[in-house]
Amino acid sequence: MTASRTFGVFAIVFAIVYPIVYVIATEVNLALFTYHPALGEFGLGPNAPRNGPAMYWFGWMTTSALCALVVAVIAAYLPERLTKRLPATLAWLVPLAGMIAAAGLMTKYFVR
Amino acid sequence: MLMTALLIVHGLVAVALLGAVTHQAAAVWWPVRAGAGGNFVDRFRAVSLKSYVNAIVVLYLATALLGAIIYTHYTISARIAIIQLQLWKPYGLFEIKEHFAAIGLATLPAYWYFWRQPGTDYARVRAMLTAILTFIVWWNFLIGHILNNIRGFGS
Repeated sequence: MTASRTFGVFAIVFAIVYPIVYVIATEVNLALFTYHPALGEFGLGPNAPRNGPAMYWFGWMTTSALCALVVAVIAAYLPERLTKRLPATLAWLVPLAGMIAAAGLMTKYFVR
Repeated sequence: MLMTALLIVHGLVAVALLGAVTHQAAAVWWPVRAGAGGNFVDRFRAVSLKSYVNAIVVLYLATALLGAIIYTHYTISARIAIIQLQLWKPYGLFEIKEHFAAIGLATLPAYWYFWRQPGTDYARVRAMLTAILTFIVWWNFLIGHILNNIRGFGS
C-alpha cells in the first residue's frame, strides 16, 4: 500500500516548516501558551513564571505544529505542477539543520 | 509514586523504541549481503525494514507523551536542584534532548510516508530519516539516564 501524493507533500512541507518555526519560537519565545507546573495552570502566550518555573516547551511545540499544519495543508492542495519539484531531501535536511541550530544555541550552557 | 511509575513505563517504552529503531537503522545502513553467515550480527541486520515503521511511530509518540507528562514533574523537582547546583552541562544536555524530541516529532509524517513508497526512489531519504530518528532516540535515552542518575526520583 502506498500513501497518497497529497499526504507526501503535506509530510515534506510539515517536516520543513516545523523545525524552522520551532527554532525561531525557542529563541524569541513564541510559545502559544505557558504551563505553570507548580500551580497546574495554563496561560495564553509566553507568561512570566508564577510561583515557580514556567514551561514554554509545550507552547513552542504547539506554535510550530499549528504553523506547519496550516502551511502543509495549503501546500498539499496546491496543483501538482507547483509541488512536483519539491525536493524530498528537504524532509530530512531541514530537521537535521534545525537540530544542529537548536543544539548550537545551547552552547551557552557548556561554556560557563 | 505515580510519576515514578510513569518514569519506569517511559523507560520501558523507550527501550522498545530503541530496539526497533536500531534494528531498522542497522538493516538500512548496513544491509546483510546475500549468502552472509547466520551469526547474531547478521540476524540483527536481517530484519524486514518496513515492518518496523508503524511500531516506531507509535512507540515514538508514546515515549514523547509519557516524557512530556514526566517533564512537568522534572521541572519543579530535579530541574530546580540542577540549577541550584549549577550543573550547567547536564542542564544544557537536557535542553538539547527536549529540542531533539520536538523536532523528531516533525519528521514522523515524512518518515511514515517515505517508508510507504515502493521501490528505491526514496531510499536515501528513508535512510536519512531513519538515521535522524535513531540518533534522537539514542541521545534522548542516554541523556535521560544521565539526568536521572544525577538527580532522579527519590534523590
